[in-house]
Amino acid sequence: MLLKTNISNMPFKKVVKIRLWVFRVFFFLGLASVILSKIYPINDFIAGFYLGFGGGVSAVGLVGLIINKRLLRNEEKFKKAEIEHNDERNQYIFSKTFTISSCISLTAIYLAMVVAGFINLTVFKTLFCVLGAYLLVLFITYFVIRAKY
Amino acid sequence: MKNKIAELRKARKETQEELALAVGVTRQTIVSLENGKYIASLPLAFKIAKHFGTTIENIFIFEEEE
Repeated sequence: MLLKTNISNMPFKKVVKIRLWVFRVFFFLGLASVILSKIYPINDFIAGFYLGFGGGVSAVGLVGLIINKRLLRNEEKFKKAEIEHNDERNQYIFSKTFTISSCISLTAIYLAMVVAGFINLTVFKTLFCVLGAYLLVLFITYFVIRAKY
Repeated sequence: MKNKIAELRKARKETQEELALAVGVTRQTIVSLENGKYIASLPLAFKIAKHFGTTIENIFIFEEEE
């Protein structure tokens, strides 16, 4: 999603080149995860998770690479993708989606943390740390963006 | 905020796709603008006004809330 909308006013050709690198990293990380799950002696559940998740990430990387390479070769498709990428309504939808989903996630984590306090202390502490990290990232991002405008 | 985009576009016998391409947005954005579901940014409003050879005030009608 982040790669689909223009958040930096970067030229689209540069965006596509960055995408290609990101998808390359996805592909090789996924592949590494699959290989590790096969050669490293870990428990079956984790091995299955690494295999499935790694395979998925690798497939996403490969599909992303093919799509973006095609974009660079086809001028018409490139222009269409550029308009879609720079479209201000798409950016508005993305920004609104991110804001609303962040609020929902934050509330859900908080509620889960409160409930976990009555059931399991480890889960409570984990959710507390997740919530803390989330808020820290949120505030840092807010101040960085505020300084920019 | 109301606008006369659909009216002006139809007068020029232009499709939504053609207008979208001319101002550098997707067809869905033009549909949303014409339906009044989305309000154009200032740069886009300028582009649309320039495309129709008129001013922003002639296309977008600002309605103050009571």
